[in-house]
Amino acid sequence: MSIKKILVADDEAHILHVVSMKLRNAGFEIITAVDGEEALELCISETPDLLITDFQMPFMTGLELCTQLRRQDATRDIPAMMLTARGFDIEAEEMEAAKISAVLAKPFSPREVLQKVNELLAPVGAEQA
Amino acid sequence: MNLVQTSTCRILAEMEPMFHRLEDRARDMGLELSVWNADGLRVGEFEPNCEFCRTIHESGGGCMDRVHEIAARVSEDGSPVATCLSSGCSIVAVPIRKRRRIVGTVVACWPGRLWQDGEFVARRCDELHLDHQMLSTMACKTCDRNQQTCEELLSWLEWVVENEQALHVANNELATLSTNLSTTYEELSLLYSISGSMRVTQSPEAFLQAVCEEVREVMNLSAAAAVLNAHPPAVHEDTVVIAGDLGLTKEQVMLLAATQIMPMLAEKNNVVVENNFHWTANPELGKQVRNIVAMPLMGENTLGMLLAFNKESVDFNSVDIKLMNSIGNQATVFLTNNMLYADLQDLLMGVLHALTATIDAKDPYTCGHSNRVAIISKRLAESMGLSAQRVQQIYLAGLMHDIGKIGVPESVLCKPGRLTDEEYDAIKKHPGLGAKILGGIRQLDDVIAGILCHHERLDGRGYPQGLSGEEVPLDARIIGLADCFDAMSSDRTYRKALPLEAVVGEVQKCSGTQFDPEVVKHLLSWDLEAMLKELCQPAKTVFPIRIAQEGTV
Repeated sequence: MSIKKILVADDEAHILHVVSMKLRNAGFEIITAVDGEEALELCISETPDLLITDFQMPFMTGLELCTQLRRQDATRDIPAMMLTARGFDIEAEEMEAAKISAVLAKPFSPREVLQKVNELLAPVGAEQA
Repeated sequence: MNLVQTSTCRILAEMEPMFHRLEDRARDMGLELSVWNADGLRVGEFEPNCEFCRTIHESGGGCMDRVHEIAARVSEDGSPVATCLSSGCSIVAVPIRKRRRIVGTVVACWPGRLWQDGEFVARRCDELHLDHQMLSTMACKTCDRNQQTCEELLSWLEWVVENEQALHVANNELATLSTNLSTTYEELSLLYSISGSMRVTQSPEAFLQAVCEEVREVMNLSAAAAVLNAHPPAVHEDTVVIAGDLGLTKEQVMLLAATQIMPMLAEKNNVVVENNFHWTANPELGKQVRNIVAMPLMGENTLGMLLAFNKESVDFNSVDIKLMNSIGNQATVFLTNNMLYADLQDLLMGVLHALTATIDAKDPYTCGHSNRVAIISKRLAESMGLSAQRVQQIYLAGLMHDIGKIGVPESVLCKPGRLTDEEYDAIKKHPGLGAKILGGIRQLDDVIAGILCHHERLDGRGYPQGLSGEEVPLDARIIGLADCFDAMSSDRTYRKALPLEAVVGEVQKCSGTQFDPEVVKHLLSWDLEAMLKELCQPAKTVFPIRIAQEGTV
């Protein structure tokens, strides 16, 4: 199986470092973005297997980013996970519309993030195998 | 200004210290350095360090418009530029990048080789009305750069800007990491200190006050509060504790909690976060509260709530909520344990009172005697400065000192006349019997000595063991005096109560033989008349230990 590529987007350096390190050690290829615009560009140019994004970021929020992704064929199916300190500000309908698969509230445990990533990237029907 | 512009300007402003460092280095090399934002506008005032540049500029021959054009172009397309201007100055311009974004341009200028050309200098000096000789001297220091050094300068500037930028980013990240680490440490230590300070014997108010103080400090709040619903026997009425300065009284906080927060909590059945709080019923007072987190304390039923008020400068986020949740859980554990403890304590006291009531019931004349001896003994122990635990132990021993009388025939106990020797021997068995009855209860081990020895005397003429002096335990000396004092000052089957003066006289007479003079001294120092009056009141108003609450017995 090829190495899965994950894009991590967060304007807080420590979150970026902690998440990237945990996932890189688990064998994933990691690319990073520090704002919503950069993340969108990278989603288009790199088509990662998964996007992990913060909600509040400069230039474009995580929610806008996900909404943008759903508008384009190339990025429509990239699963998204949100790490946020403002989870309570996002309405369930907005999450649904932007197809956000999981939300973890800060402070989260890096192990928890890895576990969620593995769940989201598991091939469909893997449990039965 | 749109969002992108403000963000790039902010990024550029954060880099200011880096530009100052660069400027110093550039000056040493005879370069005039300037910084331009993404729109091609100059950052900061135009104050040339270079004497040559300043002189030209002041005489109206400056080339800032051209530099502005070049800076705007570099910011636009991101490619560095090295060129000579018609004004005779040379410039190199390199973009400043933050990741993939161009946030501005750094420009370095110096007098170009044209200034070595006498004809050019003469023409420019005439145009600008400047002294030919002076300008040549100024220019020749720095203008000796050919095309190749220009290229080198460009690549040097690019390299320096890139490195300085990387250093700036690394420093910023280190600062954020350190701040975050220190916040996390504070939060961790808050949780440690709360779990470490949960002693079940302290009052819920004291515990919650300490918790609120810590929460306020660690979370940067103007105030933290806890509302505690009544849950007897641990908390008798609804209570509020506040840490910090809220501008609302306890009653107002109670009202706020009851009228607005409680319904919100009930509806959500979870924590309530309001970053734009409005008190619907009381908008004026509500102004004191900008934002709020309310964490319910839920045991089997609602025990109360923790409130965080007015987080400084920012909104409450999920980190605050998780922290509050964890503290709330710990507080709930404490409150639940505290309730159970108070309940058990209540049950124990209820059982002990019921036991002693059986003795008093046998002889209506001694009614309330056990309770009064317990209270007098407790006060003596307190007045002698004994520890709280010891005071409690002496109180219990006083309460049960006559429990052994349950084994003495009623005919003897209630006999109105003088006792025969045999009857008196039966009476003398009651301390030993009492010790035996309670001997099986491990938790009452410490209480036994006070019961067994309360009829011993300092002079050794007491019973059952005939101990003397220091051999008689202090607990028993205290209870012995309290016992005799109460017996003399109340009616008995065989006589009426003695007047207070007679009782005091008797106590003084027997001090040193029957009673411990030290204990006597404490008793006689009180207003005994007031105390006797107080002791006549129904027991529960004298000492707040109630018979077990409804439903537990």
